[in-house]
Amino acid sequence: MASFFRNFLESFCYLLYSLVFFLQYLNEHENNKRVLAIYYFVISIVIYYACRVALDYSDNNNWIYYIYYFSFAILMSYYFNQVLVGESVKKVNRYLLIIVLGVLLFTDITSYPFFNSIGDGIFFLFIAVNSLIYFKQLLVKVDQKNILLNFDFWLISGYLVYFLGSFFIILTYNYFTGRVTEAQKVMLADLWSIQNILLLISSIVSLFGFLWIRFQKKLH
Amino acid sequence: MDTLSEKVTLIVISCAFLITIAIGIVILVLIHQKKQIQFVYDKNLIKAAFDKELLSTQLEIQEQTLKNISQEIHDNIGQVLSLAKLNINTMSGASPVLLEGKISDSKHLISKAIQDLRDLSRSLNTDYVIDMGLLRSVEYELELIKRAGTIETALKTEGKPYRLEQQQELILFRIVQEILHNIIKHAKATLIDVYVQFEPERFSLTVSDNGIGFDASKLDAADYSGFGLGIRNMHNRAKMIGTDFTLTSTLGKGVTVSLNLPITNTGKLN
Repeated sequence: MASFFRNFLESFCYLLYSLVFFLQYLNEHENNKRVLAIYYFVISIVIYYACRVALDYSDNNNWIYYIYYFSFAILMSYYFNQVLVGESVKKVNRYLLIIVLGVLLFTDITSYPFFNSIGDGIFFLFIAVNSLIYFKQLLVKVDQKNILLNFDFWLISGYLVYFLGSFFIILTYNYFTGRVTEAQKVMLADLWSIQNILLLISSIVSLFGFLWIRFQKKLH
Repeated sequence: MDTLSEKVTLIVISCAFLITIAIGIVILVLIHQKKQIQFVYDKNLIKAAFDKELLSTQLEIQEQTLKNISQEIHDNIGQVLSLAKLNINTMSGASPVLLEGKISDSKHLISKAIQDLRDLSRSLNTDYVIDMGLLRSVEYELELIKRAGTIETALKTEGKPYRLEQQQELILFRIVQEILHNIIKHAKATLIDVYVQFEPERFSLTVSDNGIGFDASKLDAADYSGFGLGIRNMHNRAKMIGTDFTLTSTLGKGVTVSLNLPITNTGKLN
């Protein structure tokens, strides 16, 4: 049975992200935001399609998520390469990407058609680690600009909430798979609703950040 | 009930996770703001120290300028007016032909003294230097030296001229002025070459002469601590405005001084 939180909230959140990036691009004309806006818009349609495949045709939609995680890992590596400062940190980002793509490819192929919790977990962890590296950079390379007027800070705060939370959700799901009864599997599916709620919070944080910065700039 | 309690547990864990992350981010923002306050304080301290050093340098330049005025008046203008006075003193009792010659000489000497005073006033006037710009001010200084008749001067430029910041132009001009004075006083040179390069990312000015030079190889060129006060001052002033100061010399082969300034923003020379 279709549930908005479990099935369609994810697609809605990506659409919201797309809108936020588009508005940010109109405001600041940053190229990486334009790329993210287009990508999120496309992904919102793809994820919606993935939901419909699972609901209408009871078909396996894992292959759609594999493509999404693979492309998103590359996009996030590109984005963090822009916001992180320092050649050594950027190198770490690139090497991590190669490892993540390698693990995703290997585990996706070997686990298909089943859910690939190891590969997906490492994907989420990759972005959470990049977010933590960015926060460390904020504390080390201090300048006069107010951190709350930095859109990337709001965006990556949201990313940390979603991707770190998703990593734990994936671990939990992986642990309980094969150990639960049929009745408990329904409850386990609620984990996906929680993951989507985290994504909603993450997108709202980015939207709030954008509006807050606009409001502050108009005030001054 | 079990399902309900499991759901409640799930919600509680999720909320706890969110609150933990939120607290973490708030702590991060507070630490960042604290570091920012320290950063701004340190930056203001450095700026205050720089302003103090800049003021000290400006006072030094003013002192040097007054010293130059005194020397110029004593060596040139004073001598010329003394000669004019001597001529006038010996006019009484002179024959008409001799008298005419003395009057003509005196007029010529007094005119030279007036012109020298005008030139001195112009080259010492900061506003004049700022209005004309570094290149034209240097050109004018070389013209004055050439007019004296003992030293030939040449100015060569490369690239499209642009203006530097006012402070940079003023300090560079005073350094060049001091170099030229040193050449006139000590070098026994017959030729001064000035080469100015206007590159997009670098401004370069080189002054060289064909004078007696000196053995600079044994002196410490890193911070010019082994050199005289005048050269050390020039080096320090150049360093203050981010300019690289290099002096090379060999005995019998003159002195070359190079000033290299990396450019971040450039204007256009009107």
